[in-house]
Amino acid sequence: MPDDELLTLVDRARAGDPDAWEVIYRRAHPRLLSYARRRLATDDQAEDAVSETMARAIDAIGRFEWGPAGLDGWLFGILRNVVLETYRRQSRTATATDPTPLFSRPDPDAAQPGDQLVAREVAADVHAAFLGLGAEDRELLELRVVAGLDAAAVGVILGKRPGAVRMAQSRALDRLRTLLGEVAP
Amino acid sequence: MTGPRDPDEGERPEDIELLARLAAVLAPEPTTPIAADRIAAVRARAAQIPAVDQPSVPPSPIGRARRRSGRRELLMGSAAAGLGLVLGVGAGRATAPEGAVAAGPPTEPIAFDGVPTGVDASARLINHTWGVELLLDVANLAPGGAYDVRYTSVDGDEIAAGSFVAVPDVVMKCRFNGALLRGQTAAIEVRGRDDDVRMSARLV
Repeated sequence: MPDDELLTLVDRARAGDPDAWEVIYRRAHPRLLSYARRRLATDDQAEDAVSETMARAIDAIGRFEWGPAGLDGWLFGILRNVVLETYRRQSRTATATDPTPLFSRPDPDAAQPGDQLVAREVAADVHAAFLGLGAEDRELLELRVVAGLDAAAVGVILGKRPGAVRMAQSRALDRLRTLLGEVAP
Repeated sequence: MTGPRDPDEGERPEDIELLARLAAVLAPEPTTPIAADRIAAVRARAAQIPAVDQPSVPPSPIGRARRRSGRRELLMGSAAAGLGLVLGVGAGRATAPEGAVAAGPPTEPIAFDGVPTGVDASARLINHTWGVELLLDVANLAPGGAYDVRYTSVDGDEIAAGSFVAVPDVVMKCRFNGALLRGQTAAIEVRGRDDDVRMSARLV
């Protein structure tokens, strides 16, 4: 159940309060953008996808109902559709949609000595292993750890039952361990 | 969207640990700035939502019809993004079903003084819990002129509620919002860019 603050925020959003929508936008933006950036070819495309998500959310807020996905899951569900529509448009124009180039962008903080460098190498290993997963595994794990959604909410977005989400997550993590050279439990 | 994820039902401890490592790697950049024009566009679009003060009530067919109409009108008036919402409706055409107004929240009619000759203006207020919304229908203002809407509080403070640009041959259906409660609102003014008051309504 959402907390009172979130309930109030959504009530204000339903009433067309621009301040409430700005709060929702700012609150959701980092995670929505993170999800979109991993799936679209450029930062501009990712920002456009998030903006389109907000526009659709505003238009549809009258139909929003509190459910397992909550407000965050609802927004991610909209964004997912926007991204898929972008893929379909781009497939007609043969534009690259592989998110890999976004991950290979230079890291401005890469030149760090000592412990930070080691930590970065470990993180890079996890990152590389994550990229080695299939698209479905990556999306499920991202919805869990980036969007912060629980299995029920992810299930609403992906059209799966919560139990199926948990099982798929467990298998995805086993595959991630394998890619990391760790022994799966 | 509220921070680190909580462990889910039945998750293995080793899965929780790996998810935490993954979260650290994939964590979004919290300081990614949002362009001001994108925020303005969201705010402008939000301002066109038909005001409904009963959020738990499913939308009525009339409400849905109004929303679809509003989307079309937003496309017509997209240049108004970032300004007060201005929706143009062809003069002489029906503007909105009478029932559409009745389906919304209660409105309070107000009268403007000093309406320029030839200008048609009518206005209503919606007393929201968070402030006052002005519904202004106006036609025949000098085309191209820019106007600012300002609320004045009983303490004399002025609050900007939005702006619009007059266009010819339409009834402009504008909505403005101000963070001023109805009981604290003493006046509403429509001013030209020279800051001269073109129309004003005293509310107390």
